[in-house]
Amino acid sequence: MNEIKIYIKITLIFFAFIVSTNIVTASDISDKNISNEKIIEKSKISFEEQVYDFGKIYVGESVKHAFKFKNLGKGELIINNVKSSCGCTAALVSKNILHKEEEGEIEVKFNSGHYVGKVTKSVVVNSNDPENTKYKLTITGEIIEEISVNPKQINFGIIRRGDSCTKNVEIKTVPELKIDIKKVESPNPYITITKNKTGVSNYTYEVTISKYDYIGKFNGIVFIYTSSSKQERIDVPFSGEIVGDLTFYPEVLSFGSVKLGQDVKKTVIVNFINKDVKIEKIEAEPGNISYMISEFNNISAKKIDVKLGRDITIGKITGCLKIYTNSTIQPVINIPVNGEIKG
Amino acid sequence: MKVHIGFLVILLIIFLPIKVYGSSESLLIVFSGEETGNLEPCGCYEGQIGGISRRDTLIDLCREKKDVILPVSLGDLPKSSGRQEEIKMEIFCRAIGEMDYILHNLGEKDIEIGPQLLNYLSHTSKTVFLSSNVQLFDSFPAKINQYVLKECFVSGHILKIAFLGILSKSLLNNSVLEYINVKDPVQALKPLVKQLQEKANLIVLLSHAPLAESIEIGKFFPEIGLIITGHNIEEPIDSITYINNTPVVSPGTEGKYIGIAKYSINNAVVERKSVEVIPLESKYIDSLEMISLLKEYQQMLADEDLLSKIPQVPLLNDLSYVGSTTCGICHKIVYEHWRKTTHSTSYSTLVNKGYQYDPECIKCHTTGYGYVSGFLNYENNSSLINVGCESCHGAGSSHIKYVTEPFGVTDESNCVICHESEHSPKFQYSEYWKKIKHPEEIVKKIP
Repeated sequence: MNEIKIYIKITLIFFAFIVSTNIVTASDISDKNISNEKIIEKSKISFEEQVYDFGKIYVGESVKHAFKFKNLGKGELIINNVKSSCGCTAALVSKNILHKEEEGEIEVKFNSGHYVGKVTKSVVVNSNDPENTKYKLTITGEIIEEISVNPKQINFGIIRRGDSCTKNVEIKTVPELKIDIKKVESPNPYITITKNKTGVSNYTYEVTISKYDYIGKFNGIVFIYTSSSKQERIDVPFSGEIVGDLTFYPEVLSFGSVKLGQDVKKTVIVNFINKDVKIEKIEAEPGNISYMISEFNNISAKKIDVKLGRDITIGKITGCLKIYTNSTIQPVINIPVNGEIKG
Repeated sequence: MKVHIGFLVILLIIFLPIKVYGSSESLLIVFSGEETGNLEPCGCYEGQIGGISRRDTLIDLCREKKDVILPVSLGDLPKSSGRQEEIKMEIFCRAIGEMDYILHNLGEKDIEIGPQLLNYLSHTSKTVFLSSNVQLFDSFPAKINQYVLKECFVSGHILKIAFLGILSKSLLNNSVLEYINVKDPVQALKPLVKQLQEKANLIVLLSHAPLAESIEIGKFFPEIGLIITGHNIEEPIDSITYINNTPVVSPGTEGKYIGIAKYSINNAVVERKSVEVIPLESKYIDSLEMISLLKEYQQMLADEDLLSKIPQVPLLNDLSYVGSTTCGICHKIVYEHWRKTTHSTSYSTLVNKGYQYDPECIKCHTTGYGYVSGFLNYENNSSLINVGCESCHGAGSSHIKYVTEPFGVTDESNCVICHESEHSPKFQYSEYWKKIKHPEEIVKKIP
C-alpha cells in the first residue's frame, strides 16, 4: 500500500514539473508577443510595379528604370540593401529610412554589352518589412542587333586533304533601317565567298574553303562590310582542320609542374583516317622519357602512353615525341613535349 | 529499489520529449553544369562566385560528414571551339576526375568542341561520359555510356541509382550533325527507363535542355525521381520547380552554383530530404589541388603561346597603333595623369596573378589585342601593354601625321566593350569617368 502511495507521489511530482515547465514557457512566449505588438509597429513596402519590360533595345545600349515604392505600414521602413543579379546595377536613390506613407525609388540600370536575345535580370530589395524581407524586382526585355549574323563563328570541322567544304552564313538586317551589305570578303586565298540568295533584308552567303594543302588546324576571318554606322564591319572568325592520313591529339604534350619522382602519364591518341597507314617507329626526346604503344579499342587508332623517367632531373623539360609512319603525306609527326620538374 | 528505478525509467520515457535521430549517413547527389569555360571567377571584381577550387572544397566538406556523395556534371564544360577551349575542357575533365565525379553528361558545347577531343577525353578521363540520345559516328568512336547505374551503401542498405542523360535537339547547330547521331530524347529514354525502373531505387535524369522541355520530359516519365536541368538559368535558387513530387532543378550558369539533392533511407525506401542550390562564395576556400591545376592551365597557355596564335584583324582605314609613350610626346600632362590611373597598370595586375598569357584576359588589359599592329605578346609589343590612350581613342597612326585633323572622340560605348556586365557589373559611366578624367592641357606644338 505504501509503495503505491510512493508511486503516486512520484508520478504527481513529475507531472507537476513537466506541466509547470510548459506553462512557464508558453506564458513567456505570449508575453513577448504582446510586448512586441505594443512596441514595434510594422513597416510595409509596396512597389508600383514588380516587373519592368523594356521591350527591345539594340546591342550595346543600356536601359535605366526607376522602381517607385511607398511605405504603407505604420512603422519605419528600413531598406537594408539592394542586391542585383549579374549584369545590372541597382541603387537606392532615396533615403534608406522611410516613415509612414513616404515614397522612395530604386534605380536599376542594365548594360546590354555584347549580349543578344531575351534577358531577365532581377534585383532584391532587403528591408525590415516582416512580410517582404526580400522583395524581388525584375527587368526584362530583348536585345537585338541592327545586323545579325548566323553563325557568328564558322566551324568548317574536319576536312580531308584535297576536299572542299562550304558553309552558309545568313545575314539579317532590321528592315526599317535599310542597311546595305556592301561587301563580304576574306583575305585568306583559300576562301571563296558567293552570294547565294537575297531577300528584302535577308542575305545568304556561301563560304567555301578549297585547295588548302596544309595539314593541320586553320583559322581566319570573314569580313562583312555594311552601311550601318554602328556595325560598319562585322568580323566572322572561321576555323577547321585539314586531315591527311591520320590525326592525333594532343598537339602538345604538356606535363605541367611535376614533383621530382612523381609518376605522371600523358596519353596521345592517333586516329588513322587511311586504314593502310601504320606507325613504324617512335622516338622520344629527351631520352629519359619513355613511351608505350597499345591498341585502342579498334584497329583504326593507337594509344601512346608517355611517361617521365625516374632519372629525370629538376628543371624545365623540352623535347619532342616523333612518330614515324608509312604515310607519304605524313611520314613524321612531331609532338612537342614540355613541363617542369620541381624539387 | 529495482522496482523504483524501473518505474522512474518508464516515467522518463513517457514524459521527456523524445527525439529520434536517424542515421547520420545520407546520399548526396551533387550536381554542377554549364560552366561554359569558367574554370574560376575571373577576378575582375570582388564578390564573384563560382570556380572549381571552391567547388572542390564544398564537396570535401560534404564528404567529411560521412555521407555518400555522387557528384555529376550536367554538360557544357567549354564555351565554344578553339584551342583555348580545348585546353579548358581537358582541365575541367581532370578537375571533375579529381573530385570523383561519376559522370559527365554531354551538352551541345561539349559536342561543338569537336569529335577528336571528345574521343580523346572519353577514353582518357577518369569520369564516364554519358548521353542517352547522342552517339558519335565511327571515325572518332568516343566512349559514351547510355546510362550509368551506380551502386552505393547507405544506412546499411545497398542502393542502386540510375543516371540517364539527354541533350535537346533544339540546342544543336547543323555543323555538329556531320559527326553525331541524335535521337529524340523521349524516344531514347523510353526503353532505358523501362529497363532501369526494375533495377534502380532512384532514377535521375540529367536533362541538358531548356527548362520547359525538361518539364515536358518529366511529365512523360513519372518514374524519374530527380531532374537536373536548365539552360541559361542564371538564378537557379529561385527556379526549382516540381512535377508532382519530382524536383526539376538547375545548377545555374558559369559554374557559379552547385546543387545538392539529399536522400536518406526510411523503411528501406529512398526518401528525398532536400534539394538546394548553393552559391560558391568565397567562404569556401580555394582547394590546393585545384589551384595547382589552374596554374597548370595558365602554364599550358604560355607553353603553347596562344597569345600569338589568334588571327589579327586589320584596322579600318589602314590605321595602326603607335603606343601611349608616342602620345605622351605632345600630350605630356594627360600622359602623366594616365600613368597614375589603374588603366596604366592593368597589365601588371595580370602579371601579378600569372594570367598574362591568357588571351581572354589580355584583350582588356592591353592595347589593340586582336588587331594588326596591336598587342600580340610582351616580347614584341611592350609599348602596348596596359589600357593605353588608343584603347579608348582609337589607333593613332593617322593622328600623329595629321595632328590638326579631328581625332579621338569617344564615349561610353567604347568603355562598355571591356566594362561589360560580366566583368564590370558595377560600371557606371559617370562614376568611372571621374577616375580617369584627363586634366586640361595646352598641347605642345611640334615645330
